[in-house]
Amino acid sequence: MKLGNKRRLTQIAAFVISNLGFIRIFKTGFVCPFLYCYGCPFAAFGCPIGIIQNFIIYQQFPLLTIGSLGIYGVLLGRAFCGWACPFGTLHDMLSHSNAKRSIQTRNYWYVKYIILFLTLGLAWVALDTVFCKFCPSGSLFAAIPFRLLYPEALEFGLFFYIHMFTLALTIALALLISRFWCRYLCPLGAIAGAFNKVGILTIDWNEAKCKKCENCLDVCVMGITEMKEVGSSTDCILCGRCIEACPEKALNFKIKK
Amino acid sequence: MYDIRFKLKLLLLVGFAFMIGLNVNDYWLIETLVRYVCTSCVGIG
Repeated sequence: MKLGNKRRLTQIAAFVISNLGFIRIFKTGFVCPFLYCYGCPFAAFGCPIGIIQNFIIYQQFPLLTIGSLGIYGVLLGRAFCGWACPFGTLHDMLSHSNAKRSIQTRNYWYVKYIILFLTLGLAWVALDTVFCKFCPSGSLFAAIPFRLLYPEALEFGLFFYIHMFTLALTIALALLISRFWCRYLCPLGAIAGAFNKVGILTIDWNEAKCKKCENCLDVCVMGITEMKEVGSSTDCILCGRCIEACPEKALNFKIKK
Repeated sequence: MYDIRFKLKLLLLVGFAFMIGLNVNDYWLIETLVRYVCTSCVGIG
């Protein structure tokens, strides 16, 4: 089976598993490895960004969440973004990897760290889950389904319209720039991306085999522009598109021992 | 047999697992309080 098909299968499986919460016993307190709102009516796991904000508000250290993110990160780096995240899957549907980048983008990798810092800082200062009020993933997977399921019980307040605006804006930008949210804004991507430096799973580049055709960089949805950054950059989501595109088989998944 | 960095990563994994084991009560806090707050949050927005 092709890598792309395997990726699609795991993305579908992750979406199904994330929604097993419609069976009460699967509504768990485990930490989701990707951005998927716990407010979604069927969510089986808690969104790590939402949990961390809540723990900041309760003045507690989120040991379970940090420990879980650490294990996910050390084992698989940012692979959950490329292989499982439902919001990332939406981005994949909006902009195909095989299309050449129509817009030349600069690498503003640090913006997601600023968003992460703001998310945690605002939760501390405002004692509220401020990021969640704007999160476009929460708009799509929680705010909309909630209103479809409970149309009579809830009002369409200001935050609902803010959610719809951020979702529409993210979708519009994702149509222009592949994986726009994941590249520049996702605070969970910032945490997971940092683990790419120490992750056990990586993408190995065999320089001797490489003919420098740069097919791999052309298909990269995250806009990585240098070969040495594949697998180790905070932006690499280990999706494997570069591996598929390489005619010389110079790129491969590797367990760093 | 294994690189020292790989051994350090395994040690890091054990450390994170220890962090989880140190406070499994978080599980119930997430399952009850966080779930309630997140659901309420969706309710207003």
